[in-house]
Amino acid sequence: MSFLINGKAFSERPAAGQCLRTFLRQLGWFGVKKGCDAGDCGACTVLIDGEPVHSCLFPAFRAEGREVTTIEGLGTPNELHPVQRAFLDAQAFQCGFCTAGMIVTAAALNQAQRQDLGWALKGNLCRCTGYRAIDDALAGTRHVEVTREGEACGHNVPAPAGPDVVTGNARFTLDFAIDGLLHMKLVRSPHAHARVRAINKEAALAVPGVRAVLTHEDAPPVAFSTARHEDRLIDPDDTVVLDRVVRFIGQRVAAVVAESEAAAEEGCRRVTVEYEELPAVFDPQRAMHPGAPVIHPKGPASRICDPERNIAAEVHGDIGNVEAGFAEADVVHEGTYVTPRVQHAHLETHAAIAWLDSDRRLNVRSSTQVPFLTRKELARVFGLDPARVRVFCERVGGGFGAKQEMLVEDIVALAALRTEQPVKLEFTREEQFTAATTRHPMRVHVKLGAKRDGTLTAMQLRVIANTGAYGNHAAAVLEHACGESISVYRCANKKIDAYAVYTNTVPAGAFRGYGLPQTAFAIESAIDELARTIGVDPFDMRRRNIVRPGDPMISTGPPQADVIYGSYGLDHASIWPRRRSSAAGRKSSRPIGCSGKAAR
Amino acid sequence: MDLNTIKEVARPQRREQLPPWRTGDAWLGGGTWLFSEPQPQLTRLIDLAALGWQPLRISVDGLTIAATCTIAQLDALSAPVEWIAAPLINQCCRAFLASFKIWNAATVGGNLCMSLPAGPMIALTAALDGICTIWSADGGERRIPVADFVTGPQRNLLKPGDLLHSIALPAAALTRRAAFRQISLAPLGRSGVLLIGTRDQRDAGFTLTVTASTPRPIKLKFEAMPSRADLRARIEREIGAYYDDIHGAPAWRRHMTLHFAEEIRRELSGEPAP
Repeated sequence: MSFLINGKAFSERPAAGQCLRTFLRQLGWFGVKKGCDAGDCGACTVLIDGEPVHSCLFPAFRAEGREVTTIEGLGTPNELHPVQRAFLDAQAFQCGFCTAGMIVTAAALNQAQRQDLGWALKGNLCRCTGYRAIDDALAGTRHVEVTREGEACGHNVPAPAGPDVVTGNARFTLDFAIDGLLHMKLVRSPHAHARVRAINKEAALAVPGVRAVLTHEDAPPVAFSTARHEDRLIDPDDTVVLDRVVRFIGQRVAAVVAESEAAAEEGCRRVTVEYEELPAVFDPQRAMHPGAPVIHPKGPASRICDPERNIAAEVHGDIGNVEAGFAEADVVHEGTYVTPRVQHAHLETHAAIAWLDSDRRLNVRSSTQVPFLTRKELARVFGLDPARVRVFCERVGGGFGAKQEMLVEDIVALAALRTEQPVKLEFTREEQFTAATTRHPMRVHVKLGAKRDGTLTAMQLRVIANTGAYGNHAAAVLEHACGESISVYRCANKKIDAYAVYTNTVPAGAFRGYGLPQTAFAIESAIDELARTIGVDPFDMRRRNIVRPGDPMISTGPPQADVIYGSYGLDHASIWPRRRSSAAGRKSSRPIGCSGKAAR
Repeated sequence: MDLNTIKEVARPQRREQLPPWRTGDAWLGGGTWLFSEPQPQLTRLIDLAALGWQPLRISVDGLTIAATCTIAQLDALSAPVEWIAAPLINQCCRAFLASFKIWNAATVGGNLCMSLPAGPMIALTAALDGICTIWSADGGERRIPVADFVTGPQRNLLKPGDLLHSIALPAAALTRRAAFRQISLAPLGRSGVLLIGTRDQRDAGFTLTVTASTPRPIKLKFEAMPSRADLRARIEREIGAYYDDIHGAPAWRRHMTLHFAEEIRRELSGEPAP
């Protein structure tokens, strides 16, 4: 067999059922990315005889004798393809993980296809840019400016990594070759709540290429939280590397380590697990009722707020007197607002490679937003000197908060320590949805009181957040959800009761906005309703009640500012529409956008 | 994605070389669905590419589309001018949720065999009186109208080892006037409702083909153009259940089906819009 890739001939032979994407990466063409592995995201787009295809769907053997072009073959940093140049000029990327596929696709568009980019690029997903900058690139818009040293401030300076990103040379987590690499696949629970009675790994170990099967018997008994914060005490210690009890469908039960992903998959199919099913609870309100199954019967060392009632964390507080505030109100609005579970869908799935270096130091190359915090916790869990642990990332293909977690590093570390060989774990897109983290679904009951002129007299919230099977980020997300969302309003009487509750569902975690989108949606919807009831313009309602320069921002804490701000930007925010004169024929104007607090 | 349980790929060049069908086999057309999901039950792929079927054949009888014809090849067809229904081809190609890049590999036959309610090649070939030619596992051959071939969501009349070879669209259907309507919950999304109406220029017969909103294609034939009320009554009588999945609620699908049907009726009868 002979393959012609970017003008070079290769004589390697792909496996019978191998797709072109993994074959190209195996040959070192790391510009070809995996986003979904199912033909939807386009991050793996390559040209076959000049035609763009999704290489994850293309049987590798069919590329024989045809000309394959990847992003690396399109141009180089010294000799950029015009589309690569256009993407640099418009800085049409952020994380850059989708960029290679986006550019290969864009480079193949004819003039007719370029007339409707929404249609032409529907097979390319970008989670960072919002597509505007990509649109600009293909319209030939140049955003970057050339500046002299020392004068860059205030100018559009291009990202230093740009040339590598647009040519496919930027190295993401798995764009890295290491000798003797082993591959891990995980056996996952089919039950929402069960005790693992027995695991038989003999048949799996008999699969040629399988090197190890790890179970709870191999894992350290140290409890931790997958959430990573500078202060580790913020999150409950409710998780172990491999547990005897599984608390959601998809929780890992065993890890199979093998010389190939194929062998690891086969090993997983042959591991037999005997479960004792336990009663499960899926609704957070029910989970708080007496008699509901207790998901984490753990002691105070776990720092779980109220294990008996499945409450991972709670927030209570008030200032002033809300009862008096509601009594004083001319109008009271009450409503319950529900937000669903969503996944971050960063294009680079969770992934890590762990190995022991020549100094026998544990190295973990990971797709993480928190390498140093992960390092600290790995050292603690495995009883290692932190100086003997190195966690690092090169370029991360999107995170949006999901990578402020230790979801893969612990298990690859265990495997590397056990096998003394490099071990890789890469989540599939399916695992991202079933076994990673999500935004906390919330049920927010809002009660607002106001005078007829729109002045708020009382604000009361009751929040129930579903943290899923584990309490990672439960407390901090709840705190922020209940903090800034109401502290932006000046109101003398505020009261909050909030709970983050365990259920037997996939764990929630950190997600951009960190709880605020959920409560802001509820509160802002309620403010609109209240304004409508009173007959006040909703913008006037906000103008009247929002903090003014110098006001402290207070949620329900003691009488001091919960959040301190250095400058005041609300009057610049486009949320305040400029009133048009009635001569313009419009009574009211509509918002053209809004600004908010920067993410942490 | 990699299909790691596949041990072997057979690449027959002629029908006689097709290996005897066994459990764990799958026909490989474009591979765009096969490689998009784990297939741990499969051990062998039988690649249809080397059979070298001519993708499109135009004759006085009509158009024969090989099952292995790609969507891109079909979309690029240069049809005889008298085939005034031919624009349906391009409209149906654009009704795919998939990107045009998928068109370069996905096949017409694959779309029929997937038998999803939203399959636009099912809509196209059912509306144009397409007849499937199937190579039976026993070595025989049989012909089944497309409208009967698909029996439900991901269900059809193929038996293990049967192979869809081609779809023939008769010239009579291709010379009918046609009207097309489609809607999705999201712009460029998966079809929730896809209707095609055709009107014969000789006998004035009208046929409405309802797809995407129903679990399987429904063809309603009328000897002459029905009135608004008659069309509505017939649809209400013959479509018992609308499809229910994440791409559209049954009530919305019913509403849009009735709405589009009336639009199509007006378009093909030359009545002005109300």
